[in-house]
Amino acid sequence: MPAPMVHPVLKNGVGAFIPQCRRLVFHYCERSGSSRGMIEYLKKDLIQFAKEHPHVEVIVTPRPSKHPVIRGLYLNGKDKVVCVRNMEPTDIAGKVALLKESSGNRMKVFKKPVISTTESVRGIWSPFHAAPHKI
Amino acid sequence: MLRSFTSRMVGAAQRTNSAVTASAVRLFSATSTATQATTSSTESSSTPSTTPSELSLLRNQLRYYAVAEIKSRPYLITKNDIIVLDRLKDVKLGDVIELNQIKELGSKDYAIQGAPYVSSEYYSIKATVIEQPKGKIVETFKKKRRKHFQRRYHIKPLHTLLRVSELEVKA
Repeated sequence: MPAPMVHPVLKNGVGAFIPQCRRLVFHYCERSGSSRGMIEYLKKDLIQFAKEHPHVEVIVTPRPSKHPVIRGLYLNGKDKVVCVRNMEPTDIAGKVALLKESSGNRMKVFKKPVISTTESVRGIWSPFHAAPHKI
Repeated sequence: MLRSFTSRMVGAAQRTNSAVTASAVRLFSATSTATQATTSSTESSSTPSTTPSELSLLRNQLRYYAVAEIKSRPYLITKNDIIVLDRLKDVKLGDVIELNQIKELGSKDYAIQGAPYVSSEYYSIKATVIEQPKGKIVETFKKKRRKHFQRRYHIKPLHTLLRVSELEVKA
């Protein structure tokens, strides 16, 4: 029987930090009006962005007769897709920053301020091992 | 100011033994309030401080926690934890933040309580910015019945996630 896969416990940021966004794919249509802002962003701001983030692979591909779309691929294999139809270049830059700063995890509600996998340092309280209550 | 906690022991017999032996090590007896009052009055001065012997007690322990104050909010952290904050505007991915507003630095049996903060000579705590995600949509629904009043508010909170990369007690 083959050995089961052992998944390493990853703690990004403890030793070294690895940015989670691996690739950004920009789709646009050369003819349709919804891609106007996207084409302007590709001409003006994209090269500067790509230079500032050498760890991100940037791909630009025409996708005729469709709305402009940015697809981000992450290290956990998942992807996030954002439609940027009818957006101005500044708004598109905001969406690119959002994709770049995320990890591949789904958006979720953060209920607690600290997410921890270590056991509690002082241990769980027990009434049998604490000093008796005095008034 | 160094505080100590009653050590946890399994079984009553072991507990009495530990009380006898631990009382020599402890500076403030947690079980008897009378001794606590006298020791605290003799040791406390206008500016409470931690002596090197007290710090070595803490250093001999295995694992530490700290209560860090970030943007006026307390976070109880150990190493490798992820802190979920509201979005920090002036920070980029991969930046390392040194936390210097620490209210309490402790271990299993001892803790240093800051007044208001623990002196930064005693610790080194660093956190790395690992992600700046958007949270899920949160809906707030308000209704006053029979008054024709209801509102739905939707917010999509912005967060910054910090990973505690270092939490060390210095000699």
